Amino acid sequence: MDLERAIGVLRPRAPWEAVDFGWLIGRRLYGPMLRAWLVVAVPLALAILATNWNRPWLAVVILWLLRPLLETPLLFVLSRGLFSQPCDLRTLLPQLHRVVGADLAPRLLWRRFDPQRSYTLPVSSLEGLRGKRRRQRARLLAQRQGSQASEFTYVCLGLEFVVILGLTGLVFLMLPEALHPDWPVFFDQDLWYVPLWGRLAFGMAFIAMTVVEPLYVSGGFGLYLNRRTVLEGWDIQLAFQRLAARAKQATAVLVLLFGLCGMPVVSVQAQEPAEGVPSAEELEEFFELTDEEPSDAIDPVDLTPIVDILPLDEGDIAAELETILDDKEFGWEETVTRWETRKPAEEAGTEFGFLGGLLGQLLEILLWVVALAALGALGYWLVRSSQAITLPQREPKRELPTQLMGMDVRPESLPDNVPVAARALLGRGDHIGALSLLYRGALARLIHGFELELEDGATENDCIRAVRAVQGPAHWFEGLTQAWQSEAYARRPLAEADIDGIIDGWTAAIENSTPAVGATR
Amino acid sequence: MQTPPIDTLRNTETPEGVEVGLRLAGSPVRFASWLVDTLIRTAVLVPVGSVLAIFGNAGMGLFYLVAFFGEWFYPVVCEVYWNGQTPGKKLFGLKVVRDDGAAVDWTASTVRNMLRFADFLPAGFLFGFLSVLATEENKRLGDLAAGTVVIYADTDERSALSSLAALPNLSPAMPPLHLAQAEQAALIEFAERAPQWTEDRQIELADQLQPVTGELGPVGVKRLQSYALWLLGRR
Repeated sequence: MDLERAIGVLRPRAPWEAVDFGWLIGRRLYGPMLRAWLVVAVPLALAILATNWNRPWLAVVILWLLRPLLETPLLFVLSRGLFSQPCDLRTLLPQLHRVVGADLAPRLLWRRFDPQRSYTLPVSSLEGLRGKRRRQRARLLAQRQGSQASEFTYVCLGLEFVVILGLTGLVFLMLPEALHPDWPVFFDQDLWYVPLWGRLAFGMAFIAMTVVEPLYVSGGFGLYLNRRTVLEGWDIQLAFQRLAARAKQATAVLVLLFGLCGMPVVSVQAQEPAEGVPSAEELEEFFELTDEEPSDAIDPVDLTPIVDILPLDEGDIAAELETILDDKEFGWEETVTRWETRKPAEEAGTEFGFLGGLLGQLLEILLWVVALAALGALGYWLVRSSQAITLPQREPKRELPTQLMGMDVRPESLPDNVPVAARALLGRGDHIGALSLLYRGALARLIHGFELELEDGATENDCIRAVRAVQGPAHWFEGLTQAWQSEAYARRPLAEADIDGIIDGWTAAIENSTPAVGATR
Repeated sequence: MQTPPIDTLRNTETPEGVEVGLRLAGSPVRFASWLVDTLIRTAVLVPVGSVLAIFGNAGMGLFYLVAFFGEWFYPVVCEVYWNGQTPGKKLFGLKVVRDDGAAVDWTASTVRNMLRFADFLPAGFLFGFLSVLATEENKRLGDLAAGTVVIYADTDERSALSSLAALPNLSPAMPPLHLAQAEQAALIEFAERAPQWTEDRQIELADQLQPVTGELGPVGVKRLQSYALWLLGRR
């Protein structure tokens, strides 16, 4: 068997992922699997039902017990289909009896109740192991994924109930209500003894099996493949085969073909005559065994009319209803006269009735608080959002610089009258002091008068540009800046008259041009 | 081969252009994890209900509220705040992610869990079961609507199988030809998993690579292990 021909990617997977992988393969091979299932299961189910026509519940049990008969054909399809081998009915039918019969007795008897049986089934039916060797092999497999295999079996059981429940629900969803049975009455009867319901249940069980059984076998096969992939390194073998092929191509050297076709990996050995195949007598015995159930002890009650009553004529029904409802069983009217208090009696409470009332009141208060809070939040949110839409956001007041070029330019830091103070400094011969005061004063007044946009790290030229930009007294300010720069930085003393001239210009440039702020100072 | 080989892995590309492999989870394990979640909810609701029943109608009202939120929001809250996992999913190593592998948000989780009702129809989750079977990515109706998938959250099985401790003490050797990444990985895995196989099987596998090693038998196995050591950086 060539692993390269596998239609799925073989690699180690987590246990549940391996089940999913099995399902994916089952989905791809759904057509042939379903055909293989129907070919075996439909005759079997019909035979079981026919022989137990009046004991349909027993038929359900027998069908359920005989499931292993139906598992091996599915596995046959899976194991061949996985490696792209023909797996249609033409290949299955000639060897059907061998496929179904492999290791049948233990599978039908004691291994029937092994929850891991979908996982270990390939050991007997594909690897063809029997007896002790089969047991050892199964134990080796179950060292890993064993618990998941059991859980998977119970999950599949649950899924069958899902299908049965769902289909029943679907039927009643589609049926007009008039045809629904009266459930309380329905469950009140011993429905075990109603053959019609039993036969319907048999049909449902068969449909559920048809849906789930192929998936059950696929999932177990997925687990089995995963275990063998790990145990035998199938993924490594595949990678090595590809690498070897590439190496041969690359070196263009003819090498003997090694192993490419040598390894029988999954050998479908169901054809081998197997020990432990049950004889016809054994099977018969088995049937007899299950047939021994008490059946005639109680007369089956025929409840079919419950669903069989169909409306005949509307007038008839109305009249019929009237007569039926007139019966005292459905209530009657009578006049009773008695005295009653005007106030309705206190409601009878439980032992903790007062606590209940308290809790109720607390809850009510809580509800009101929550409702009011929600209302408030809604109102707040509405106001907020409407503002956001209609009113343009007020620009936040810009921060004006407080310090420029190491000088304090807050108006508060200035003397009351800058020109007078400057002239006083000039009179004392402190040219730099006078110019510094003037420059600092001018900056402070211009910044606040024109709200100049100046960074904290602005230079003298930045200041001039800013003053120009707001059409302030740029000319005078430029002269002042030049004077200040040449005195303070270049240490080129200016004539006292020049500075005097700048001080004279203060009033015209600053006091008259800057609005409001500090104008009175 | 015409159709791509069957795999439980789906490669998807994140918005960042990273290729991520999502290992999609199927019906059986999800059914099992749903059962666990249901048991947990019941285990909480039964005692809560019996205590609240003492308080008469108000208590029952409260109980219905708790039951309602437990039924509809227990999975949502768990999935959003707990890495896409409810306790049941955590137990089975599952998690919910969006189609591109991103974590589920409130919208996606709410949609997929509200539509649980549609999956439940007509009874017992039949539609959900059929939907998972029929869709390529194992999506129930809620997953289809929310654009989510359920994946295996635990690390790949391969890393669980491999152990560096198993490496033999050999002198590393450089492989005689340039190896692609997958081929390097196969060699390393061979060395790491070799102790789990019989010697016969090790030789059988190593013999496949006779065109590369030029050796057969136990010598070939050793040679491959030397390559693996070299690839692992032991030079």
